[in-house]
Order: sequence, then structure tokens, then C-alpha cells
Amino acid sequence: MANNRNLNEDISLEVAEYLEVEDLPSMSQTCRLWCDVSRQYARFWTNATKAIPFAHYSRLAPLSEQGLDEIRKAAVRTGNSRREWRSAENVQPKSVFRLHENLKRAHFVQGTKWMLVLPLKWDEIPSDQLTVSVKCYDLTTGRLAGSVDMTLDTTVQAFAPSWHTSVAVSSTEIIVGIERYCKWSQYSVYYLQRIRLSQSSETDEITFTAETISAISDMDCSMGLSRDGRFLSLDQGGGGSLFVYKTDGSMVPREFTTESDETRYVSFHGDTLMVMGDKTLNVVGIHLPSLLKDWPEEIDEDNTITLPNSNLGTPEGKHTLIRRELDMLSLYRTAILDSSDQTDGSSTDTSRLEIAYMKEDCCFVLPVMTGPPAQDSVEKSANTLLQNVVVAGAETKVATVPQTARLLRSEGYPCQRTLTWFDEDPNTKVRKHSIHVIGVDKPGAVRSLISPPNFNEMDYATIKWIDEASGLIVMRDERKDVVDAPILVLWV
Amino acid sequence: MSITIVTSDNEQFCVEKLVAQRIALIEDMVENAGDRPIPLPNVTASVLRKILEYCEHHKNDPLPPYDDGSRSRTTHISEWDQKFITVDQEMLFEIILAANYLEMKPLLYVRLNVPRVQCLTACNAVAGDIGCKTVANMIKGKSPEEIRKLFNIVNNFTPEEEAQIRKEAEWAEDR
Repeated sequence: MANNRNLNEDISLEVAEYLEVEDLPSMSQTCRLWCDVSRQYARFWTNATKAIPFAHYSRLAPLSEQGLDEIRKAAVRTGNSRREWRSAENVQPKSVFRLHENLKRAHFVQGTKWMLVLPLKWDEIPSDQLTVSVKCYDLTTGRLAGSVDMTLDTTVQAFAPSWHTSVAVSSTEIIVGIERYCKWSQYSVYYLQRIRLSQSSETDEITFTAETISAISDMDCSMGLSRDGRFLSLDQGGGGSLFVYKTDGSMVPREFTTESDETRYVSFHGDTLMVMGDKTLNVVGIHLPSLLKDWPEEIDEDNTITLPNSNLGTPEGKHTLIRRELDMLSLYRTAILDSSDQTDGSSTDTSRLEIAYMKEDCCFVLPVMTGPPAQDSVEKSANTLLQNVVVAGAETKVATVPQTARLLRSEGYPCQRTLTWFDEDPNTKVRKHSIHVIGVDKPGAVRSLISPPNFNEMDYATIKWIDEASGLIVMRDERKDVVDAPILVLWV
Repeated sequence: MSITIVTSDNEQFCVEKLVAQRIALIEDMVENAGDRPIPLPNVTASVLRKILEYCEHHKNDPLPPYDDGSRSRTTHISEWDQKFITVDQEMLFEIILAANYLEMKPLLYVRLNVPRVQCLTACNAVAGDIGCKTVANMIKGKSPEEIRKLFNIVNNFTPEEEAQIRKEAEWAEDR
């Protein structure tokens, strides 16, 4: 009988290139041929490297400089984490620790192991120029990995800065967005900072450096960054303007307004900037590569483009977008779920997305397809920039809130598929946490998050951040009588 | 115009040239063979019948776009191809090995007129790749033991190597 002994190395590598990161370790552990192939050829792990989050590499280096052993190790780690996240009945963290930092000052850079912490009491420094030392924690160890000096200029007295958004462009480069709200003038300064990381090959010491890319004054906005770090969005919200900047330091934006003044949510997905109405679910997709073609050299208010109402014919009923809300500011991010084949960083003219929303106690997703910009429109100035967004399937119920859930927190996490909630005993305030992964769990099915021994804080805590790609859960003890409650960091 | 192919078990196939040209090895041999039958000593009749069925169905297909390796690979298999590759495991492996032997990938090299090295990555639609996709789909979600059972693979690791492999999951968690 034929078996794999006749499949040579080349064919084995071909098979490997069709496998996901969680299957490659299994293949490599099957027999000596596949084990040898996995240890000798980087090509075996090609698919894995597209999916491995930066957090899973032990060594801080560009992918091209990661050794095969390190890639294999990171792939096994990612595969284990994914398998646990997607298949276990209970979520049992492998690693848990406490960090005594104020969560309101902390920021988690998605896909990485870095937590950035702003210093406290900035608002007590009435200075024209501030150089502050931001602490960088390694969340895989809980250790302080170093610090980065950020210089922020301001000519007016302003409140303490707040983290807004970030994107890891590579394992050695992070772009972060910070807001500084000015005390007396109803506007804010939005800083874009580039953080570079390097690791000494001799001492393993990590060095962080920062430079200011731009500082933009505007009304109260929500801030967003594209995944490749090339675009910044500043959205004034319903009735106001949406500005899109390049992150090359240029201060000339493209400006958009919407016909409706309803609350809107803005988020980047591949080559598309999605603008969505809160109640209507009207969706407009701005095609970013087309936007680059005629970028103005100077600010011209006459070039403002009004985005049309693009009704998807969404199902009736009162729906609420699944979104994430930060504590300090009313910053919302839509839960538009990228399909799994769009999560490896590759971009195409067409992509399939899913919009997630709640109706009563059920979560639904509606698949939409974005296509290339329309070419035959009379209103050339606007519509050549707009993606063709159409419904690509039926509304599907993907989750039902458990009836026992006394308190519900339905938070979506950007571009991710995990919903969380807890139910709380009103007498003891003890909480039980559950997660639900859209596309994996059936409606109504939940997985409990198990408290490890000696971590009773988890019973009184709330999940505040999830990075499902790297298996990171961050919780905060919300008991009012607990002073300086630690952050709980869990790795699945 | 047609050519004659003789398999390892001595069966003769009369094949339309357009169909046979999907197989690079045969295209190379046609020029030297003249009117003589082309021998394929590494391919049995049953396997060649399947390969030719694939070539016949796809003879007018446009060639797949050049793949520079940056796109994510999909394991989607079209409906016809899925039906074609629904065979027992022995036949599946035989098809993969035959497609490899018959150099069906370099066929694209001839048609695309691109460097051979590029064409080797531009082969997603040939029978061998459908076979590899099928094997990959069968592996998905399975443990090493389940994969061994599925493909009749003998566990040829030494006890020491097995112990080492078992440690890998823990080893990977060391940061």
C-alpha cells in the first residue's frame, strides 16, 4: 500500500505550503522524513511565518534574520495557542502574572508582547516641551524591558496624554497615536510617534528609540492607523469631517464628510477604510491606493469629498455594532471582522468582511464584499475612490448571550472574532468569565475562563483586552475598595 | 494529431496532442520520438488514465496567474477537481508522484515563456498541486498519531526522538 515514504522532500514542502500554522507542527512530528524537512527548510514554515504574531518570537529581529529553530519554536507556540483558543471547552491560561501598573496609563500593541505605560501626573508639568520616559514591559515575562523617551511639543497647558492607537509595522517598528487634550480650547493635539526597537546580539539588551512623525491639532477626534502603518485617520464624528493623513510626516490630509450626521465608526481593513453608520449600518469603503494618486500638495477645503449614503439593505431591527470602547475617551472601533484569509497582511482589490452587531441578546454577522473602485461614475471626484461594497450573504446568528449572564459586556476586539462576557453573583460580586469565538462556537456555546490557583483576583476582574492572535488576555480587578489593583496578564 | 503513450504495464494510449502537451515530459519527448510510441516506465495505466482525464478537462483552461509567493495559498479545490481527486489514498499518492515525474509544473514554463525558476512557483493548478492540496486538507486538524493512521505511515522515530518531540510543546513555551 502506498504511503508517504515515496513523497520526496519537494512534494512534502508543497503539502506544507497549504497548511496552517497549527497543523505544521503536527505534520513535522509524524515521521522522520517530515521532521527532517521541517528542520532543514525554511520553506516548510512559509505559511506559518505569515500567521505568527511578533509576540511569539523570542528574539527581537526582522523575520529575515530569525533562525529556522526560532521560527519553528514560534510556530509551535502559535499553533498551541490557536488550538487552545479554538478548540478547548475551557480556556486554561498557561501563564498568569500580576503587573502593578495603572491600566488607564497602559497600552497594548496588538500582535506584540509590548505594553507601553505613560508616566503618571503629566498634567502637572506646564511645559512647552515635554520629554517623557515611557516604560516598555515585556508581557511574556512581566519584566520591564526598557523605556523610550518621547518628546511632545505643546504651547498650551494640556491634560495628560492618552494612548489612542498603535500598529506594529514590523517586529522592530511600532507607530503609536497619542492625544493631548488642551485644557481651555476644546481641541486636542494628536501625536504620531515612531518607536524603533533593537536588541544587542551580545547582551540581549533591548533599546527603544522614538521620533515624532507629526503633531496635528484638531477637534475631539477618534484616531486610527492602517495595518501597514501608512495611513492615519482622524474622525470628528457624525456631522464633522473625517481626515486621512499619510504617516510620512506630511500635514496635508484628504478630507471627507458624510451626508448623514449619525454617529459613525471608522476602521482600516487591508486597502480599505470603512466608514459605517451606527444605526443604519450604511457602509462606505474608501480605496486607499486610489486615494494616493491625487494627493493634494496643500490644504484646499474645496476638495472635501462628501461620502454618499450607501445602504446595504440591512435587515430590520434595532441593532448595535459590536465595538470596543476605551475607558478614558469615547473611542469606538467597529467590529468589522476580516475573513481568515485576509489576516496575513496580503492585500487585494477585493476582500470579504463581516460586520458584527447585536440584536437583543443575539450577535449576528453580515458578510460584505468590497470590490475595486467604480470606474463609470459621473461623480468622478468621489466615486473613483470608493470601494464597491455589497452584501455577500445572509445575516447569520453567531452567538447568543447566555441566559445566566446577569451583566453583559459584549466587546468586540478590532479585526478579531472573540466576544467576552461575564455573569456576576450580585451578593458576592464574584464573576465567571466566558469567551465565544465567532465562526468556531455555535450560538449559545461559551467557554469558561478558568482561574488558575492563587489568582482569586480573576473572580472580581473584567477582561479589558484580548489579542487572540497571540493568545493574550488582560484583566483588571474592578473592586472599588482595592487600591492600586494589579493588571492580570494571561497567556493562553 | 495524436501521439501514442505506453505505460509501465504495457498499455497503449492514443492521446490528442493538445491534451498531451499539458504534460511537459511528454512534450519534450515528442520531438525526439517522431512517430514512435512514447514510453512512460514509471506510470501505470490506471494512473495515466486519471492524469489524462485531468488534462482533457483542463486542456483549454487559461494558465494560472504568476504566483510570486507573496499571496496566501488557498486550499480551495474546484468542484470538478474535487470529484476528480476523490480516489483512494493509494491512487492519490500515485497521482502526486506521477505528476511530479511527468514534470507537469514545467509545462507552464513552456507556455508562459518565463524563467523556469519562476514557473516552479506558478503551478497551483496542475494535478500534482491538487493532490498536495488534498493531502493538506486531510492533515488539517489532526494529531501526528491520527495522520500516521490516516496515511499508513510507520512511526520511524526512535524512543529518544519521540521523547524529544514530546518535549517540544513545553520547549516552545520557554520564552
